[in-house]
Amino acid sequence: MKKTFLSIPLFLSLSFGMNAQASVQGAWKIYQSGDKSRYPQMVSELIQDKMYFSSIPFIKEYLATTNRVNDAAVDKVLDQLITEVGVKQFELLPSNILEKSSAPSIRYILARKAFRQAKYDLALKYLDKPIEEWNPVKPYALLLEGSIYSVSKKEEQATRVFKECVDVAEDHIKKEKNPDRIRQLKISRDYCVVGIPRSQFAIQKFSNAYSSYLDLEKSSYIWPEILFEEAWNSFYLKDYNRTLGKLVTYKAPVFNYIFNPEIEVLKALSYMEMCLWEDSKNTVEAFYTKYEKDNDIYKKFIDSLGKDYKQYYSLVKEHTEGKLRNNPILNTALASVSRDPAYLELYSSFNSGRDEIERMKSVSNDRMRAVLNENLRESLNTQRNLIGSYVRGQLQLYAAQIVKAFEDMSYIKLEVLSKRKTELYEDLSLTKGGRARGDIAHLKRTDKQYFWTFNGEFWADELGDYVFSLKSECK
Amino acid sequence: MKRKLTFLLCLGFIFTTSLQTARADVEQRRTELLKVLDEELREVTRLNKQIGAQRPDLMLRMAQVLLEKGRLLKDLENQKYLEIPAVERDKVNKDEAFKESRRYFDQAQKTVLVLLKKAPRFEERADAYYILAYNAKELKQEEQSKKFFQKALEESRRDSVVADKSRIALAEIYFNKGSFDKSMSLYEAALKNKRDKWWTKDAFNLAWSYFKMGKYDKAINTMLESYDLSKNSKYIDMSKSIERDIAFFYTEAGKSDEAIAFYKKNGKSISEVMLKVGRYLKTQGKFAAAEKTLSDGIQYKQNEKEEVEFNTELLSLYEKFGRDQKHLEACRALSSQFSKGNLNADQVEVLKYNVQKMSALIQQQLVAKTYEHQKDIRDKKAEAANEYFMINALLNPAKSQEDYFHAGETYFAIGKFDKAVPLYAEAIKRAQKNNDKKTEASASNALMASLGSGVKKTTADEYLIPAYESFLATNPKGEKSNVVYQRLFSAQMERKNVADAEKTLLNYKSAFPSDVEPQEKMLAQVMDSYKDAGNKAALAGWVKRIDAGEFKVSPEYASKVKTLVLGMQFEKVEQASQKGDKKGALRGYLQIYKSPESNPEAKKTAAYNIAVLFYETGDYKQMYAWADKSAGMMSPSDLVKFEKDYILFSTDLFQRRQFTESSALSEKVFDKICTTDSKNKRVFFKNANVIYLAEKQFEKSKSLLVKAPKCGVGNDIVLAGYLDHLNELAAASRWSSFNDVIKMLEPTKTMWPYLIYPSSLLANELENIGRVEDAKKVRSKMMTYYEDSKKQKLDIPLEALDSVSLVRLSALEDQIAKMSSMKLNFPEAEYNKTLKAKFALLDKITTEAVSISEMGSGIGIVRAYRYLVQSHEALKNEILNFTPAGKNEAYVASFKGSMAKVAEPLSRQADDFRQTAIKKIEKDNILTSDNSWFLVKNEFNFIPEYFSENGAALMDKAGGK
Repeated sequence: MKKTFLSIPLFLSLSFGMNAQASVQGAWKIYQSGDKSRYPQMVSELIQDKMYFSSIPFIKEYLATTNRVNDAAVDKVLDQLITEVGVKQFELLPSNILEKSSAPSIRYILARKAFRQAKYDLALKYLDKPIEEWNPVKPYALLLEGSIYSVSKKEEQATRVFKECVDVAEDHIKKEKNPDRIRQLKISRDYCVVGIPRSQFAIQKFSNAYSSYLDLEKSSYIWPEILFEEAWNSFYLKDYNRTLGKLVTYKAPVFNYIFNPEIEVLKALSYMEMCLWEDSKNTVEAFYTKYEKDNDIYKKFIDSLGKDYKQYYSLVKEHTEGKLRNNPILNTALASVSRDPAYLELYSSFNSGRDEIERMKSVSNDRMRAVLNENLRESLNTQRNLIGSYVRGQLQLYAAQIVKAFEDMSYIKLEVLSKRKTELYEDLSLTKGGRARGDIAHLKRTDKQYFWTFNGEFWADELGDYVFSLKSECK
Repeated sequence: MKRKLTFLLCLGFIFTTSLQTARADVEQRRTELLKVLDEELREVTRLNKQIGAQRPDLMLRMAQVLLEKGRLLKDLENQKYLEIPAVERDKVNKDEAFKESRRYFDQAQKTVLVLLKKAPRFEERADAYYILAYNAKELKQEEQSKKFFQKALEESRRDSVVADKSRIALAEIYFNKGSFDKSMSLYEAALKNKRDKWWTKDAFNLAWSYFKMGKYDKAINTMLESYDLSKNSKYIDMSKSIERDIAFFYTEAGKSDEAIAFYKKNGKSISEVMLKVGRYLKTQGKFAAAEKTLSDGIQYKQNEKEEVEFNTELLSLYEKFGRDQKHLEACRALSSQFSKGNLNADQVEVLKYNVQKMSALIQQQLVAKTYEHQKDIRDKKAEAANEYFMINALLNPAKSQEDYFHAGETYFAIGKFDKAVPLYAEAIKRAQKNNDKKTEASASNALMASLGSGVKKTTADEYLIPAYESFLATNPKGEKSNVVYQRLFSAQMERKNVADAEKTLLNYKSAFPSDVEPQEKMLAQVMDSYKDAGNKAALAGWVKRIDAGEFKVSPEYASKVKTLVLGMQFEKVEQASQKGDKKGALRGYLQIYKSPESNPEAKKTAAYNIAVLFYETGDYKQMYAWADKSAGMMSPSDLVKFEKDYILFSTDLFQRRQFTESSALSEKVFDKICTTDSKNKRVFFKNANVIYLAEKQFEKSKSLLVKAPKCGVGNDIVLAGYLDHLNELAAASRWSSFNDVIKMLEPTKTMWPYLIYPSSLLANELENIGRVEDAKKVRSKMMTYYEDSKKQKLDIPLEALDSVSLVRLSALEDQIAKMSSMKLNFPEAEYNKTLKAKFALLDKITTEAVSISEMGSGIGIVRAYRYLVQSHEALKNEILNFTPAGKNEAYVASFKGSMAKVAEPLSRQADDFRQTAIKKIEKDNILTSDNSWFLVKNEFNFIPEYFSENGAALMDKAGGK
């Protein structure tokens, strides 16, 4: 099984000062002139009045119509705007349009797009030009850069960049006041922290990775998902009891929202490596029993929604408001999405956009208000669709993960059966040195007994530190 | 996830290890394997469903599992088929019997064919053909199988696993067909890579292919390589097979030296190799070389097992080449190993065949007088034949009589009768043991004939009796037998073997009952011999039998016998006793007792009667001696019958102050009747114990007490015995033993009331010797006994109540002393405080004293009241006598007035207590040393302990008033 651990947050935040004289009125004048080359200035003035979402169509139109942006002030406007509305709105633009600007946030967006296409050199090229440390995009850009080195198995560079990322993110956290942005920065910082063990893992330095993972605090927002990576790392260290111990943490009620069928796959795999055939098979069967039927219904349901993003948006929204569905997979999937940093960022931006509706009422110029209202509606629709699209993607991803897990589970079972057959043919298990070895207690315990020590109580400070004490039955 | 699973390896296991696995646990494993395969099928199906398409790799896996299941089912069906009795098996429809496995083979076949059709370019199609090939192999379609293996080979990559597996499968086919040229080249190609653990096994076949093709060097080298790899645990260990076969290779290649070097190098024994080589040469018909190899090899033998193997192989070779001596030596060695149990069944058979053949051959030669003129050779041959017969006898103990008979016949044939006689005699013995009448008769006749052929006297002496016995055994009533019986009897009597002679007499009587005269003669000889020997009992026995008419004897002889018997009677004694002639009776009994002819029954009765007679005459010393003797001789049931007499004896001894004898006799009888249900056991026990205690023989008493319960003496008696024991120990100041007994009795709670008083004695003793703490502990325990006994409502002895009350009174004294020590003093507040405390203490004292008085102890009642009166009066006096210092008169007067009022109730209370005490003394007839304190009023300043109403003088210690 091959593992990659990359999820780059969308980023964002920070505002910076512009011309204090600017105003909606000033913007109206520029709009009336019909001179699109002055749109950045107009946007700058709108930003003064916190009309971020209503500005987006103007700046997109500017980027589409201009040949090249050679103005630092325009770059500043772009950075400022993207900081407020998020990168997704601009990621939708084709690269050739984005490439007209060399604003750090635009370069970051381009690098992300290249990264997603596995064009790592190109991505690095976009990030090649230095970004000032104070720039709000800096921590995110460093995370992206570190990740690129990491997937390219350049551990040394990756480690260096991730360390810088942690320092820069810390600085930004200290200066930031907005709680949403602080959360985003902390998440980004923590991804940089685990970027180091991820790089080590990528080049199979599992022992180093094991220690480095410890740098991530348990209080981190991303710790629950990283625990799974630690479990894999322990697996590669052949410390299967520790793997199982880490996986059992997911049984804690506090982690109910975690959606990761691969947890069970790794559990079955660990048992298999310890030659605990029955345990491994039981895990496979339990997984099928738990998911097979529900997954069919789940899959049919999300397929029935097609690409109606609004419905996807509503699904999560309703879930966060307490509405539960009949399908346990769907409920867990929605719980997982609702806590997803990327989703939270999109949703946070969307909420900010909705605040603009109120501010719009204060625009006295009716015609200007009509234009801005139209822009705002378009941007918010886009943002909502972005959210819906993201949710759809995640739900489809989960469905695919379950199917993949089914497949993996079947292969594990087939492998277990093959090994059991080999034992039977070689008469290993039926001889004195076979299954009878070891403590009889190991043979008699049931699956439930694994959890005796937990007894339904998961103590916060012990989470992730459980270690099983099963004896391998491999000959 | 590794998707491509290595199915081929599994398949390899199935086909190559199936033979190894078909053993005892095959059923269990097969069942489990079938379960696993079913699970696999379900899982592959489920996976196919999940993936949503028929993937060729999964189809391949499905086919493999189906094939595997088919094979296992076929094993099972085959087993069932073979279990059908051979006669019925022909009637069974084979298609039906193998229906289930066939179904799976067909399914596997179909699956593979569909796979090949649907995915003609499937990169693992060679695996598919491989399955088809094995399927065909299973269906015994050899040509088809060969064709598919060939196809699998063609479709596979040259160096792939399936290519090599196919080559090996083809090579095996050719190897089994004997096409070694083909198997050789296929194995050569397949074994270039040491791909799996089976390499050593396949290389072994390759080596044999080389060997068969005459390529000895290559064969040896390949074997050696396989041998080296066999040491590696990653490979199948073929070393045993190689060690077995490589010797052939070397030998055939003319490299015997290298063979020896090989085995030496590998720490194997040379003897083992030579044995193998020798055997191989024998199989090849190279007997001379085989004999040489084996004869040489035996010198290197490492153990007896090998020696046996060598000799077994050599026997046929020695016989072939007429090496008689060596043959005999080999047989001798093998028979010796046979005796140690070192020969297996086959080896025993070989030895039997050889010794029987050789012994018969030699005997034939001797009977045919082949060596009549070569006496030395003839004698040696006879010895050899004899030894072969003896070996055969060893090998066939059930028929060994025949071997001994034949050995005898061999010597008989050459006129060596002295040698033949013992062999015939042994043949007879063994024939009797093995119930072989025929041989017994033949040997018996032959023995009689041999003994009549001028044998040495020693031979005759030794074998005459067995010969007669044997003859009579087979001819018990023949004409000749009458004389043989008499001769046998005479021979036995001559040897002073009276017992056997008696048997002969009885046998004769049985065979010839009417021949009275010889019987009487024989009887006379027997009885004379007993008479001479002074064996009166045996004589008596015969007399009885004659009296009973078992034997017909002449009247003269009968009279003679009676006279002899009369002397054995001694009836006088009883007559004397009846007449009151005690002396005469005593003498008579004494004679009976002392007579060696008297049986134990007579002796014990005599001893008892003697004791009775001495009791009657008053000679207690003799009485004791004989009572003791007779008691020792009597059985428990006898003693129970006479137990009252023994009580009389012991009582008499006691009354005559013969305590030791009395108790010893009581205990002796007690011991004897211990296991009986006699009611007098308790009398003997008590008598013995009381005397032991009186004599202060505590150890004896204790041992008696310990065994009493085991003899069923009731707990009431035993515990009472213990209490006596305890009290005597206290009286004798044996405190250590005293303590032990208390501990022993303590677990029995009903004993607690009785332990109180003895414990108080122990406490007092401990206190006297200064062990105050220990004394306290004992008293504390004593109180526990008391409290618990009270709670259990057990009767508490009076002295126990006295002891407890004394303990409590002692504590009360401390309280009184404490009250006295508190002195009244001014200022007023302090005075009041002290006075209040005193009253409180007095109240406590009163409560405790009343409680003690209610215990029921006379001592306790009177002294408790005495203390009450004393403490009340003391406080009253202290109050009245106190005058506050430094106060004016008016204050003092007022104070005293007030205090007089306070003291007045105390005075009244003291008087009340005094009157109550006096009433109790009179009413309850209490007599204690404290009585005088209440009752005596005199002018002296002391209270006498003893009082006389009629005015006896009171004197002090010096005798003065």
